[in-house]
Amino acid sequence: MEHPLAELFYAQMALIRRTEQTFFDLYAQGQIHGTVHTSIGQEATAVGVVNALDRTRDVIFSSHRAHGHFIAYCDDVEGLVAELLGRAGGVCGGVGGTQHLHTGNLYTNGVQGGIVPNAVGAALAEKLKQSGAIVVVFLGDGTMGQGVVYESLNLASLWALPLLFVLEDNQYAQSTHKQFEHAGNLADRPTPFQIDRTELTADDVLAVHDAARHAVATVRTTGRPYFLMLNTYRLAPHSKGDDMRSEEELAAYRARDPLQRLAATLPEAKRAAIDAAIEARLDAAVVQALAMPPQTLVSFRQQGGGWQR
Amino acid sequence: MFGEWSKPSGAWVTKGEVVAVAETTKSVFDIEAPAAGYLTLLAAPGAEVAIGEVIGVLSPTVVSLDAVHAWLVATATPATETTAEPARSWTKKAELLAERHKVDISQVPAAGDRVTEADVEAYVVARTSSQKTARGAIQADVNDTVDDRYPANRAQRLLIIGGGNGAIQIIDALQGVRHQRAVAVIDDNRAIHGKRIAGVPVLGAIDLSWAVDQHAAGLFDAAVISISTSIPFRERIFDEWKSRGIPFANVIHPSAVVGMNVTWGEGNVVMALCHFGACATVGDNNFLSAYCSIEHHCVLGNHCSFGPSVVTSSRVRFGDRVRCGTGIYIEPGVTIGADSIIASGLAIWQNIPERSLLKAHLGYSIRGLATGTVTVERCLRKRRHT
Amino acid sequence: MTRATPHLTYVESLRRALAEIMADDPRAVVLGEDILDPYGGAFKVTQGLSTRFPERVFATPIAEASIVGVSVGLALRGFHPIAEIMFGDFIALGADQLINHAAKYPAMYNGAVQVPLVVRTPMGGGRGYGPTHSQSLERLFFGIPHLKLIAASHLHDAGALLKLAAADPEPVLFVENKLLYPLALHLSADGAVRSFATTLDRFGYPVTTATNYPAAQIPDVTVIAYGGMSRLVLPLFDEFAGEEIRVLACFPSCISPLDPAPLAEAAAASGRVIVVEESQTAFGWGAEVAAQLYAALGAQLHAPVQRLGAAPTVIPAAKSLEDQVLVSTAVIRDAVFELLRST
Repeated sequence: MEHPLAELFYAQMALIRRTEQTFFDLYAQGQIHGTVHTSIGQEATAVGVVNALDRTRDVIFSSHRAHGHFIAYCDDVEGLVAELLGRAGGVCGGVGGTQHLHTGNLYTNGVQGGIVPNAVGAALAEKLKQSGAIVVVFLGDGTMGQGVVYESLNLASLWALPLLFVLEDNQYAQSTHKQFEHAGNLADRPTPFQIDRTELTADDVLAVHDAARHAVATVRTTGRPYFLMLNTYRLAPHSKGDDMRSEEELAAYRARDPLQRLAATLPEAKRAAIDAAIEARLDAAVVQALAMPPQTLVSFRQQGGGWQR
Repeated sequence: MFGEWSKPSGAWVTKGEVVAVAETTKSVFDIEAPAAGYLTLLAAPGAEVAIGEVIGVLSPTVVSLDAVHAWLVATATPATETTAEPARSWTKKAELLAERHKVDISQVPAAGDRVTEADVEAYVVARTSSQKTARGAIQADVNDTVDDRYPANRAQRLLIIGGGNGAIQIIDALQGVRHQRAVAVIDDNRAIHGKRIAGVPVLGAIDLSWAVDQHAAGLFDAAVISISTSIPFRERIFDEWKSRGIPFANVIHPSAVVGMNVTWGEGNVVMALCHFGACATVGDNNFLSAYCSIEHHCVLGNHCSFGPSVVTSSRVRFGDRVRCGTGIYIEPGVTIGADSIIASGLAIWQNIPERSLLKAHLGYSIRGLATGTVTVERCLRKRRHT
Repeated sequence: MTRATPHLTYVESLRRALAEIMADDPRAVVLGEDILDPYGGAFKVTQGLSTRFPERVFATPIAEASIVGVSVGLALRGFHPIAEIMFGDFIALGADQLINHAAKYPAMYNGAVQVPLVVRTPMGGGRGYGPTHSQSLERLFFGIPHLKLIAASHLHDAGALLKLAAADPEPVLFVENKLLYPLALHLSADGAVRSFATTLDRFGYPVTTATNYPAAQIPDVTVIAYGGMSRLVLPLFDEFAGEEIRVLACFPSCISPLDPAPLAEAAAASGRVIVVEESQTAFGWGAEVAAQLYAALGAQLHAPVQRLGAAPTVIPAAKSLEDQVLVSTAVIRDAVFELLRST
């Protein structure tokens, strides 16, 4: 029995997966300058949560691992590929790169936790504007070590702000397991701030989506913050090739891959058609980006990075 | 030191009467009674006393020594606890200037009630002009009544910067000029220090601070740079000296022809037989060798250096720091961009961008002339041998 | 110019400007610690504001990173926040927000967003508050690209300057000075100030030049300083005038980035320069000013640029120590004397 959203979600999750795998390939070929953080294995969180939002007004803040949120939000794979290849046509003109993305109402940054009070400020702004928009901020388990996150939980509750905290707990902060970083249970963190929460395992994108819709609706109707904790797993390394995890552990989680789980609910032909379309689109995006000139200092100066010496 | 009393304690003295003798390190002088009264002696003969210290008291009636002491205590100004400097009879600026010039401020006379900056400067000038040799000061014509009494009307006295061939040319040009004369040359070449160039003394190295003092002392009126070979040097010296307030003079050979309405900057050197057409404009600090002709309505920038016979037609414009060789002809209306270098013997008919280097391509070759007659046989023989 | 009416105090000027900004701009929001009436802020700059604009003045917890961080979020989403950090020393807690967020977003998003944010904070010592309440930590932010540091001296119209900062599309760290708050602004040729002029630097911020001699004369020394140093420099004007020492004081308000042109002009006038900053001199503002002046003026400087500032240690609480660790009028006076004695 095919869920009415399954095809859409599969297309988005597969696009995220294949885009990030393509980034690994481009990195290996020396085309990407710098680093790549992927969310391979975590696509259900991005797709489940972002599709619960009102894209016309809601605001998203995210971190260094935001390709999934970006694609689920705006579908601009071409702009993202060009961005990582340092092209003028990149979504941020090649200045931001993988970690610093902005389009529409989506903002990401590379310092862990630093963006969370920005999300509080944005939620205050939407509240003052009475726009009806809510703000979502994506956190990782590693981010929960930052003090400013707790200042933000406090303020969001104190000031009754429409802010949805989404904790994507993939168990690892870079290479360190969360048991070496956090005392107590991360899911209990919002409780002393009187922020309600839901916790679930994010293997099933449809379940994530249901939980996210509930969370979004709660924030929108109460005008108060909410905390959604999604237990997920990163199947690829933190970045490039720095992976210390055991093959047994990885194999166990590969067997629970949310993308494969959703794929199994779709007819083979439908899935194959979606996959083929994604391959064609990504091939074209890469060819198109590589054909663009690299970003120039002149246009960087004319746009965001202008300076006067 | 207090010497001795001429009157006994308790004596009646009248105003102006000598009551004691005192000595300083330099002299012995009488102390007169400032008023009439009965004298009470306090200072012992031969005692050291400070200026301002009370040596005796005059009172309208005879009083006891104790009463005198009590009165002194009662009327003494309370000692201030501040560490304020002692009262000065000069301004702080005067003091600092005196220290800079290593002058004892107490020796500087004040024109007004306090010694001022201007007093110190005047003192330094006077001292400088009286120092004959020390560091090669310019000699003031202290016996020239005209110079001394009417300094504004005298010939402009020039300090020539650089003691090479350019200096000789400038001094030569000044031979025929009544309104200017060279008073000194300075040059970094120590070998010529203390010597003279055509009678003009070479005083020392090119030293701006020294020159500022000499100028402040009124020992020269303006400077002129004789070095034509290095434009960066000309420009640097000109800018630095100007920034310290030293004026520059135009030295123009008397044989030069200057048309009407020619506008001059300063610091230009113009050699013999040059010509400036009507309404030409000349900037600052240019050096023009002999026979240059800058036609009417031409505009010359700053810090240019021309060899002999640079001839322009009308309305030619030169940027700054243009260097021209010898024998150059420039067509009307041409603009020569700043910092360009033009080799000898060229005729220029087009605008030249800034920082251009113009070299002659139509060169010539030099061959030694054979002695004797040239014959076919000799040529053939030569060919066979080579 | 007619003789000015008695000038506002520094704090009153800022207070009025804040109220006018709030009245004129419905997107202006003020937040900080203890700023609500009746307390009205530790230094009373925000006094009256929460009564007049209760819906746009927010008292925050003690959380400086969040005060700045929330302001950044407000600015990204269309508001014009003016945040107060109670003591400048605490801005270290907000440094990540200023450096990695406020100053980064516009450029790293390739010009797609603006962060029109002002963070106001009082810096400086002299009140015996000790090592963590007396510093001039703007020094940490010199040279951060796309972050402006604006410092108000009492030779500036502090309120007008705050309005300029509030209208700036770039984030601004607005540096106030604790000891200036009660002083009357000095904004004209008046008393010992014989000439007073304001020009704009190339960022559009005012540079004040004041002298203790009539305009036609040439100064003996140029003092370049910012912010609270006006309190130390101005007393020398009267004293020096009686001693024939002509001082030109130059106070830029945009202290980073720095437009060297007006400073070079002021420096060239005398060729002798003393740079005064309240913080320690090593790696400081004076070093940058000196480097810029050497590049611009070279041999026009008669003497090496002198830098004055605090001793390289903490700011002690005891008055006997604090007075000597911080730069003072006496130190500036001696430096002027030394410069004139030697050159």
